[in-house]
Amino acid sequence: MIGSFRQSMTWLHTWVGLIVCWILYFMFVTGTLGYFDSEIDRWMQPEQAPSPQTSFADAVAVARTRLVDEAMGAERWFITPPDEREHPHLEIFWQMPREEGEDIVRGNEDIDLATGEPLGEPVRATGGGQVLYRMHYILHYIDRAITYPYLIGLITLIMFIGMVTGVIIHRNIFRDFFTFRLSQGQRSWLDMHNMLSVTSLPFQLMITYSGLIFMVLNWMPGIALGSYGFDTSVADEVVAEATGNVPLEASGTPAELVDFAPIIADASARWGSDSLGRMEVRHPGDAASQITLYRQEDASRIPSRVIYSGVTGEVLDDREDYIIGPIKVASTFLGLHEGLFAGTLLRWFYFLSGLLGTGMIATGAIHYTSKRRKRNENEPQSRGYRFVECLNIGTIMGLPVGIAAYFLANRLLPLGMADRAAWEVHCMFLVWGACLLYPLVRSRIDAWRDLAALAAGAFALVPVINMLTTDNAHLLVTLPAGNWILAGFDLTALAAALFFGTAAWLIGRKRASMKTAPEASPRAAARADALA
Amino acid sequence: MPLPALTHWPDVILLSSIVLLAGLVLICLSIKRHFSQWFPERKLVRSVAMALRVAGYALVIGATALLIQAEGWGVGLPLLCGIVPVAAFAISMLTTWRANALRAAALARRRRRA
Repeated sequence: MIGSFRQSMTWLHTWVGLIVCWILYFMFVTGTLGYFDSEIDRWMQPEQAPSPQTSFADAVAVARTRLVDEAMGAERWFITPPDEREHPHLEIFWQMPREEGEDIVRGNEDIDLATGEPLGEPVRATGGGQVLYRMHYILHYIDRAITYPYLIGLITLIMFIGMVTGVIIHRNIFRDFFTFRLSQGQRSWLDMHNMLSVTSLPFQLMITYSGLIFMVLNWMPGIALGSYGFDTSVADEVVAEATGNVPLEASGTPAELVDFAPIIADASARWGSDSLGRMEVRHPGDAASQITLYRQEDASRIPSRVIYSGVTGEVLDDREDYIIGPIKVASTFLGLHEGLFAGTLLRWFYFLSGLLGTGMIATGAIHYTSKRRKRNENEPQSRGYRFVECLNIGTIMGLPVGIAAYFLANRLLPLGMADRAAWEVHCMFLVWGACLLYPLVRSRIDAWRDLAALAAGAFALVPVINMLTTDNAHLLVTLPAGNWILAGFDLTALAAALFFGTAAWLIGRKRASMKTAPEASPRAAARADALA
Repeated sequence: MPLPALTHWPDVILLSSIVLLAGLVLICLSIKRHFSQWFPERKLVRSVAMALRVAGYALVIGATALLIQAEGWGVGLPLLCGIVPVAAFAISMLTTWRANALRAAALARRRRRA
């Protein structure tokens, strides 16, 4: 303990925060963008329009024809008809029974509703929003077995420590709820850090805690081991029972697969025909076959479901509470984290809350240097301080520049290029890398201003380059047509440009005032000399 | 008595956002520092502060109830957690801006007199 309890918690908050702040910033930025992963996918694939909306029954009929041709005798089929957001196309998945000594054969395809054939290779090879979103929890260029759950889990754990200590050390959490004191240097950064964190505290606590729930079994294996021993098959059985996912053996007797239409009609009568989610068929063509229809997901990630016989079509199981309580609680946390249930408005609030979290990390990191700069004003800068400052500038301003470069690369790299999707990501990291080096050769305030201006320029270029490189996916077309997914992307890029432009302007004004008013105090004069 | 059916956004969400914003404004004004930022000439009396605080919390709770009633717990609470930061951010920025503007005006007046 250093001094009082609160002082030692402040120490902990400062140092755990500093160690992980840059990677947390990366996780917050990519995770926030992840709430619009499907929309980003759509923008990065302008040539491929989503499938037209059709009835559940029609889509399933198309899928069935294809699956009967391709995957009869499979262990299971999954059919996911196109919806408004997550699944732009009819998706089918199948898994064949395991053969002795061989790998399980699986397949998945996006199906063209009109022809019933798989959609061809996309014109524009891209990682899309999914690659960006996956970086949120598996990073990039590092083996995912290391990053998820171990590295990311550790960082999330540290984030959680940061949140708890932050709440402890913030003395007047209610009285300072609305407090922001302008133009007071370090004080202003701390005010902003506090305000962003406290107002969005429920979201930040939820997102960090639920992030840990994703990895709970990896980080606390003792609970499962203590209850079920080292024989994983016992644990598997328990999990299958608890999640209502009981294994089903094929009987070996062939039997004709039932007509889907009455089953779909029955489920529609239960939930309404707009609420059907997806369909699972187990052992199609076998006498023991079962069909499960799932309702669309809600916040808990546990949709209602009904299991039908795959031969007669009769209802086998329509319990609502097929999952035990603890799993439901865990699943609700995961559902809240992913926000897949959110409609347009709530999705935007998720996005905003993510931005607040990003701001919380950024202002915390800036507060660290701002406080120490003031304290050590008359001493030469230490190497450690300079290191933190360069990483701050290069990450907080550099990562957005990198992400804009990722979007620009999607439009500018030649279509037939080898490894095109991989090069989009390389562009992002190359540009970010360059931004990390830039503060080394510039003074602090110049580097802040230049990179903010660069970010503003890069994001402003996104809709412009989009206009020059696509025929009908740019604002002049998408705005009049009311295509809010494509237009929303470009407008958001413009909003980002406006934000970074304002930041660059404000920093430039501060820089000018630092240069013109050195006589105000001898300290400021010394600082201006050091910067010049 | 059954509550009126407000189940379609944006009406219910807009309504509860406004109620929430009003509640947060009252809570903000019940704090001495912020009250003096808005009304530098006046003094916040304790009974007024209490009344402001109670009314503010009542409105916030009312907005919460409205959201949960219309959207259910699963969507209502996340919505609340999304609206609060936006409203609080707007209020504290306005408060700072207002205090700054008042200070600048006072400075200008003093200069004119001198």
